Amino acid sequence: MIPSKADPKWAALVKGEVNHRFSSAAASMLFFCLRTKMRSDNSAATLQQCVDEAYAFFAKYERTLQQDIKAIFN
Amino acid sequence: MLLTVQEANELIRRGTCLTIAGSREALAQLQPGNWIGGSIPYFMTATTGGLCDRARVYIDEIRLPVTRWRIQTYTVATLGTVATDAYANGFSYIIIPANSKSHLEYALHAPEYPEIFLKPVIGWIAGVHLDDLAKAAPVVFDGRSATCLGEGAVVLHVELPGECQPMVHTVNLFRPGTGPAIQFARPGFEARQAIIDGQTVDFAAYLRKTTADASLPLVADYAGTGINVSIKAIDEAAGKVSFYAPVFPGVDYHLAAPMADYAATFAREVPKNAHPLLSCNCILNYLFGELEGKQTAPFVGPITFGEIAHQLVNQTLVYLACENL
Repeated sequence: MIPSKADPKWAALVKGEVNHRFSSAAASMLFFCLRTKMRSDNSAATLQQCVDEAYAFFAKYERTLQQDIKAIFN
Repeated sequence: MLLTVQEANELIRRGTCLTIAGSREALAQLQPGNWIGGSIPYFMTATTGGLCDRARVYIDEIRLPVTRWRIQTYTVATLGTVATDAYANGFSYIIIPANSKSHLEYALHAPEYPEIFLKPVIGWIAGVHLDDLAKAAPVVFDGRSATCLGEGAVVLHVELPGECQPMVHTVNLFRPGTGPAIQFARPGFEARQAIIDGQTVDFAAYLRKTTADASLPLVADYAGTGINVSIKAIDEAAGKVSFYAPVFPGVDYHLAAPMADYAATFAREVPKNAHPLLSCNCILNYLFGELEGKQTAPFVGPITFGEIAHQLVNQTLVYLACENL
């Protein structure tokens, strides 16, 4: 079960404040892209949009990303 | 599997859903059917290993329990919807001709496409025989009408049953070297200047001065995954360096560490428990890794002018595997 979007770790992840090395190429590329987006526009709206994208990705690949979820949120 | 044109046409007549790689001349002899194709005469095969063959074609048959599929062509203007057009559970296989406007568009903007990382998008950049670089243009084929296209992209969207979750994986054997971080001020397939240790330098002159090995890519760390940008040419007289994929501003690149034996490193480092359904590998790995006649199975497929793992990557083995849920 992945934490809700309200968990502050999501915001930290998309801002690059959590230095996690993802096990999947898709996750790495997604977060690299989200962090680039956040660097160019750190507004609350962009942050919410990035968290939504990150959450949707983890929700879809929850089973495959178990190790990443454990490392990031535990 | 590597087939003669006649054998390929027999398979096409059965109505199977296929992706096909081969020389333009070989692809042009195929009948209309449920296939997409791209020009390239280099392959990794299960029996012979790496080889070049202008007469035969390499076919990947989609053997999964596919629930639905459709072939779609894209223009430069519509490429941005490739992932939103994909089925919710499945994958999309894309082929784009090298040096086309769509190649440039995809290279620069794919990371910004909606859902591009949420949906598995795998594919490659079509090329030509290396002897024909100056005289032939890479093409893709829409197999439904056996139409040859020099621009745009062909995509096979595949839907899979819910218990099968596909993911795109990369195998990049290159590691960042010990040299300084290299940054670029502008995105693009070529650069005149780079920012190294805070100084703006003539990048072509820098590479010559440091006797850089241009067969090694620039490597950027994307949160755990190494993304390569391969060097195409260093033109010191014109003061520019060209690449096979774009560099982007705000990214730290490093010249890759030297690799003594690509084939041996490949054999040592590829995931041993992988069950790839579709794969492709880079022409530069084929050349510099001297893969002709060498086995890379179970990773078999076309040898390409650029690989697509959601976004464009270089000098990388890309494959699709399914997780059973």
